[in-house]
Amino acid sequence: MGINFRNVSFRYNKKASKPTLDNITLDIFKKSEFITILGHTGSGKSTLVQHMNALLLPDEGEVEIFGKHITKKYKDKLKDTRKKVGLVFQFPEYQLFEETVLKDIMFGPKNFGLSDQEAKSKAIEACKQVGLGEELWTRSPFTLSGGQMRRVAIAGILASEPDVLILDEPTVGLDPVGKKELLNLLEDIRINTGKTIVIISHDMNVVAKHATRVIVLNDGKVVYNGPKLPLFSDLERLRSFNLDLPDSARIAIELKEKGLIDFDELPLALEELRKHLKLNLQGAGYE
Amino acid sequence: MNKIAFGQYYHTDSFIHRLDPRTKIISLILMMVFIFVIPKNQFVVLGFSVALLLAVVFLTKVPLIRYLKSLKQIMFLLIFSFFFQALFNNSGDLLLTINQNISIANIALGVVLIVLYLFFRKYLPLKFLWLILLVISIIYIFQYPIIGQSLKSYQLKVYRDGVVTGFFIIVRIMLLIVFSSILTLTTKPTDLNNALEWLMRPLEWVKIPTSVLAMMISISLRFIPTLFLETERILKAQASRGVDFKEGKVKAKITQIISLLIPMFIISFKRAFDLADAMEARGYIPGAKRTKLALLKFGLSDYFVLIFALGIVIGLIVLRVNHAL
Repeated sequence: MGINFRNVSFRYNKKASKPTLDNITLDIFKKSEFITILGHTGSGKSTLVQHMNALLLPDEGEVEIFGKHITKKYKDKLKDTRKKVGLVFQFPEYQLFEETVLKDIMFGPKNFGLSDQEAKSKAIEACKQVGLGEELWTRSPFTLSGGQMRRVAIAGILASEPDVLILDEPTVGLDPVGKKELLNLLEDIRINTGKTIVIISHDMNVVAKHATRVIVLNDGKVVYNGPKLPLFSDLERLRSFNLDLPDSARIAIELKEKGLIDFDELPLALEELRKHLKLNLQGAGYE
Repeated sequence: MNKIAFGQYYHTDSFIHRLDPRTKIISLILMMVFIFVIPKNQFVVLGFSVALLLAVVFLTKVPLIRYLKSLKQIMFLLIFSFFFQALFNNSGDLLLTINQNISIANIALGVVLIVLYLFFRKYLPLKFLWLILLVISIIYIFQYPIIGQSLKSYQLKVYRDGVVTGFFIIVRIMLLIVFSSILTLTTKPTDLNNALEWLMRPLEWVKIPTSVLAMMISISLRFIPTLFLETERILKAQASRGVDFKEGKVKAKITQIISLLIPMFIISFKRAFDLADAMEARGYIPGAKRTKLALLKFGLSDYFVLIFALGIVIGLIVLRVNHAL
């Protein structure tokens, strides 16, 4: 069970010769994955994730979402699907509209058919998950800071308890601390609840630190789908995708060229680089 | 992303496209005057204006279908006013008398036809043609009392003046619409706005800030597609939160609308404040004298078109005043 794309093509302008999504076959399972989708602007990332909860229907091919076969002609209700696959848009703080934070978070669960009481307890749970203190619950969402508003929006999706949580560039516009907190929060949700997290990101450091799987889109095609290490190890291919190395990998490669450290496996995260540095510098007599 | 075409502007290069937008607006106003000064029964003058219109339409190099589309929207109004005139104007020679007998069976059959029409309307191409057919067939049915005694009978009388007046009204409205379409099809919204600003200049003497008004219009035009995209985004975001915009219950509908309206208000205000800051940062002062990037300039062909339009209007008025027509 999960989300399976089978030869999916999609175009916004039905007359355009070049499709936005071009014959995509892809599987996303519900097994505690942290998937990052990479690709430069206009490669079709946002379009791809909007297919995952059937906001867009494929022109060709089929998307199977938790047993539902979504094709061009699908007409049935989609509430179920949207409950199972939660999608957080870019700048989600703009979707807030209720009088209080808690009411806004309750909006989703209530739409999915929960009673006020149940929705409230789910909302409180979601608030605790994203770290919104009790003093904020009765405030108007419009009086909060940008980072807090984004947490409210994410809690609004979490409260519906989706099996797969998709976020479109969740860290854009946040300060470094807010960014780090948000990513750690997502990591915690994945580990504690076993949900699969899918995020679109431009930040290679995020990919290097959190991703268990990387999907690279280029011109509407999936050009890479697999673990992160092989992707970053093949520099030439990385360049051809218009992607960059994470900071720690770049530093490590430069240090290796200068003969200061040596490694077999490219250190992607800061911690790994630190380990290598310690090992090599101690060997050279540094403290 | 998917491109939203705003306005009707059809991009091509033609004599009409190259005219100054002010020329086009002034000529349009003159042509409107001309159309309404045409006296009744003057088929020659009416024919002249139709010929003139067709000539200009041909000159614009815009596909004919675009003009027909603009006419399609007022088809109902045209047919309605023609029938109204033809049936209720009773002067001149009597052309046609239709006996109408109302009986229960006739009413029932008429109602069935109307219901059928309303039901199949969605699937029919050329809706207005079917509507005419419906009206004609109902009139036809009522001529004969099929079963039973007729409860009441009356006569529909069609007089010559009614038909002529109806015909004149239809042609006049069509002329008006197509002449206006020529303006909007061949002029970019920004050019139109610049021209309107120039034409409104005299209003500055009575302290109406025309340049500010023109700026407001151009900003609104600029932001329609942007706000449209934002709306689409919020719709999708709320759909992800389980809002089903197809749901029919009144209470659900209200929540749906609120969940869309409030975010849109906030986004619009935010954009407005950001834009105001950006404009001030680049030295915009409301009401201050500004220079223009694109200067409007009358050319030889503009003077020619204006003199021609003014000429035919004055000519027609002079002829009317002298009772020559």
